[in-house]
Amino acid sequence: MQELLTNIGQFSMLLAFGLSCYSLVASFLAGRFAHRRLADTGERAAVAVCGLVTVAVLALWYQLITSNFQLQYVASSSNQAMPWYYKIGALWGGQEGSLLFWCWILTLFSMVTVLVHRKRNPRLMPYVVGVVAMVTTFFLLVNNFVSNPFDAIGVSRAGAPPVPFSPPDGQGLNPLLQYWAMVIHPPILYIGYVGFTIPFAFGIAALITRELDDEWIRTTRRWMMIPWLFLGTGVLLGAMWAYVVLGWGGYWGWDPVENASLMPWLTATAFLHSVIMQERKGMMKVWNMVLILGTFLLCILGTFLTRSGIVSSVHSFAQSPIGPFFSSFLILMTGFSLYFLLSRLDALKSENRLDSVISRESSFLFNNLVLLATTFAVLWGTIFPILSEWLTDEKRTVGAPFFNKVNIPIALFLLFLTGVGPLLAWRKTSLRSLRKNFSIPIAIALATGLAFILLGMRHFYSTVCLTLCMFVIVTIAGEFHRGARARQRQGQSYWQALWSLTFRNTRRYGGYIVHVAMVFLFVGFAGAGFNEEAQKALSPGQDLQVGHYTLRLEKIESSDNDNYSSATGIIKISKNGQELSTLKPEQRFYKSSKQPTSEVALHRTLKEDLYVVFAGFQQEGKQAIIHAYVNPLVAWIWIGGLVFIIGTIICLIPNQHEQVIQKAQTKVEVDPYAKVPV
Amino acid sequence: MLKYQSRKPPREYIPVYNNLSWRIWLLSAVLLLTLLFPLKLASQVFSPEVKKVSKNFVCQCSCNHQLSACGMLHCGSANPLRTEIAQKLKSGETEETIVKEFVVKYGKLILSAPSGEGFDLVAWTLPIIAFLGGLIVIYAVTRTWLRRQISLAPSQGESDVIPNEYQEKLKKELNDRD
Repeated sequence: MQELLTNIGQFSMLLAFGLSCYSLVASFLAGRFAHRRLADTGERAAVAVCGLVTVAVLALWYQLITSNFQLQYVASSSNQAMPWYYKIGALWGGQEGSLLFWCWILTLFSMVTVLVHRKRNPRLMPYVVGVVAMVTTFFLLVNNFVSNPFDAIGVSRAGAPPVPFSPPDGQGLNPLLQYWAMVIHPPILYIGYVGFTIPFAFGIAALITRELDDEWIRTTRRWMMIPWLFLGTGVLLGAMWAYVVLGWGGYWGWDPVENASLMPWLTATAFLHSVIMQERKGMMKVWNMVLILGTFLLCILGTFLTRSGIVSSVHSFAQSPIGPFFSSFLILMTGFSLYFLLSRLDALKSENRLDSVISRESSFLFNNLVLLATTFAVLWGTIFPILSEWLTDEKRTVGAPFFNKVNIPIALFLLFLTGVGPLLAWRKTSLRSLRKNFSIPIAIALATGLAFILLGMRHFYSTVCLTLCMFVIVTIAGEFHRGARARQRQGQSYWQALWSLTFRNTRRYGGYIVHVAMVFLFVGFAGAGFNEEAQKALSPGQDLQVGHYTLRLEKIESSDNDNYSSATGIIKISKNGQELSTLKPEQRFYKSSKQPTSEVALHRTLKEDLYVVFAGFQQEGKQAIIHAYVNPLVAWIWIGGLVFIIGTIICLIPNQHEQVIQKAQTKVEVDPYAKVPV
Repeated sequence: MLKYQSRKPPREYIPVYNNLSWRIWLLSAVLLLTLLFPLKLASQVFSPEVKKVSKNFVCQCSCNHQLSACGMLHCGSANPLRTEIAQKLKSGETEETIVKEFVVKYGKLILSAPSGEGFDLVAWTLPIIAFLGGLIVIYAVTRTWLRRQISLAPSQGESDVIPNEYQEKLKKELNDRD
C-alpha cells in the first residue's frame, strides 16, 4: 500500500505539473484571442491541478502516519515515537513537504478563484488563471525535479544502481517544532503568503486587459484582506511559539524569517488604506498597483532569503539549495510585473487633487509613507549582512538593537496617525472641527502621560507609547460613541445602536476594531521597557527573587518516554508573601534528534507574565539553574491578536450598501465573448 | 510503476545501519545518553554585568539573538563567549575595551548591530534618508495636487453667473409655459 501510494503521489505531482503548464498556456492564449472554450479548458485544468496536488498531499500524509522511512522526507522529519498530530504537522516541518503544502494551498486558492469569479469577472479570468498557473507551475517544477518529498533512500555500492533502503526509525521532527501552535502556525502563515498571489494575478490581469475600473479593485481589496488576516495571525502565532518554545523570554527577535513575514504584511496594510483613496476619490491608482505587485514579490523575496540559506536564521530546518530557482523566479516575476506596469501607466492615470493638507487624504499619504519606511528599514536590515559581505568582504550582523532603534520611532508615528486619521474629514478639516475633535483625546492622553510620569515611569519610548495608545483609544471610542448617539435618536438602545452601527458599515467600524487591536499590541510592546529578570542555581528548598515574585525550588523530577527524557523543576511561586501557584519548567532531551529543548512555565495575568525557564544543571545535577523573567503586559499582545481577527472578519462581512451593489452586478453579467464566434 | 531511485547521495548513517545490528546501536546510544543526560545539561550562571556587556554581541549559534538573550540549551557559542566576558571583567577591563577586543578577535560579525563608522554608517543612515526622501516626495505631491485643485476650481463669483445661453433657454421655456 505504501509503495502504491508513493507512486500515486509521484505520478499526481508529475501530471499536475503537465496540466498546470497547459492551464498557463491555454489561459493566456484564451485571453489574447478571446476564445471561450480555451479559457474554459484552462480553468478546468486549474481545478484538476488542485485535485491532483490534493492526492499527492494525502499520499504523503499516509506515508508520514504509517512511518514509511523508505522515503527520505519521512525519515528526516518524523519518527515512530511522535504523536499522530505531529506526524500530520511533519508535512510542513521540512523543506520538500512544506513546498508541496505551499503548492497545495495555492491550487486551493486557484480553484476557489475560478469557482467564484469565472462568471463575475469573465474578461479578467483567463489572465488571472494564467498568472496563478504560472506560479503553480514554478512550485510544481521545484517539487517534481528539485525538492521531491517522494524521493526514496537508496544505497549505492561500487557504481551499482541504488538499492532501496529503509532505516528502522526516522530522525524525528525538529523538537522545537513539537509544540501545539506549530501544528497550526505554518498553515495559517502559508495561507497568508500564498493568498497574495490572487490579488497579484488580478492586478496583472487588469493591467493586461486595461480593465482598470472600480470592479477589479473591489475584488482585489477583498482578496488582499483574506491573506492579510491569515498572515497577521500567522505572524502572531509565530511570536507566541518563539515566546513559549525558544525560552529566551521574548517573542520577537528580528530573525530574517520573522522579517520576511512582516514585510508583505506591512505593504498589504499600506494597500488596504490607500485603496480607500482609489475607491472614494479615484486617486493613487499607480501606487495601489505598485503595492499589490510589491506585496507578492516580497513574499517570494522572503521565501528566497530564508530558504536559500544566504542569511542565517533560527528557522534553519527549512533550508536547502533551492535558492537559484527562487532567485530566478523572483527576477522573472519582477520583470513581468514591471513590464506590464510601465506599459500601462497611461491607463492608470488618475485625477489626483487635494483640497487641503489637513484632510483624511493626506493622513493616508503619511500612513503609507510610514508603513513603507518600516518595510524598507526591515528589508534593509535583513539584506545588509549580504550586501556588506559582497561590497567589503566582511560580514556584519544586524540584530535587534538596529531594528528597535530604527523602527520604534517610526512605529510610534504610525500609532499617532492611527489616532489622528479618523478625526480628519475628507477633503478639508476646519480649525474649528480640529479643536472640537482633538481637544478631549489630547487632554486625556496628556493627563495619562503625566500620571505615568508622576507614578515613576521613566522609560521614554514606553511612556510615549502608552500615552499615544490612550489617545488612539479615546478617538476610536469617540467615533463609536458619536455614531451610537446619533442612532439612539431613532429609538434604539445604546448597545443596539452600537451593534447596528458596526454592521451597517462593517468596513469602517471593523477597521476601527482592527485599530483597537493595534493599540493592544502596542500596549504589549510598551511593557518590554519594564522587563525584569534573574538567574540563579538553586538546590531544592532554595529561593530566587524576581520583581515581586519569590520562586522556591521544591524538587527536581525526571521522567522518560519513547520520544524524550525530561527533567522538571517543581517551583512554588509567591508574591508579596502570598502563595500563587506551582510552576513546572522542564528540560527535554529528544532521543531521535539528540536535541535538548526547554519547556517554559508561565504564570500569566493581564498585568504581567512570570516566565520561568529550566536553564540547566550545576554541580553534577544537584542544582537547577532557574532563569526567571517578569514580562509586563505581554498578555495584551495575544488579546490584540484576537481582536485583530474579529475586526478583520467584521471588515470582510459585506455591509448593506455593498450587498445591494453585488446583487446588481450579478444580475447584469456581460459575456465578453458574445461577439466572438466559437 | 516508478522506481525508487534517490536523486540525492545516500546519507552517511546508512552503511552504519547496514554493518551492525541497529538494535545494538540504538541501545548503546540510549544508554550513553541516559548516563550523560545530567552532564549534558550542565550550564552556568552569569552576573548582570556580564549580561550588560553581552548585549553588544550577537550569539554565533544562528539563533540571531543577542548574546545576552540566547536561550538555546547547550549553545556552543553563548556560554564560552559569556565566560570570556566574565574573565575580562574580572581582570578589570571596561565594556568599551572588551567590545574592541572582541571585534579584533572575531570580526565585526560579532557585533549585535553595525557600528557607527565607515561602511556601517550606511546601515544606519539609509533608512533615515529613505524616510526623509519619502517626506519630500509627499511634500512635492501634496503641492502638485493642491495646485491642480486650485487651477480646476472656479474663480470667485464665477459660480453665481449663469451663462447667457442657459439664461435665454430658461426665458424661452418659461415663456412657452405661459
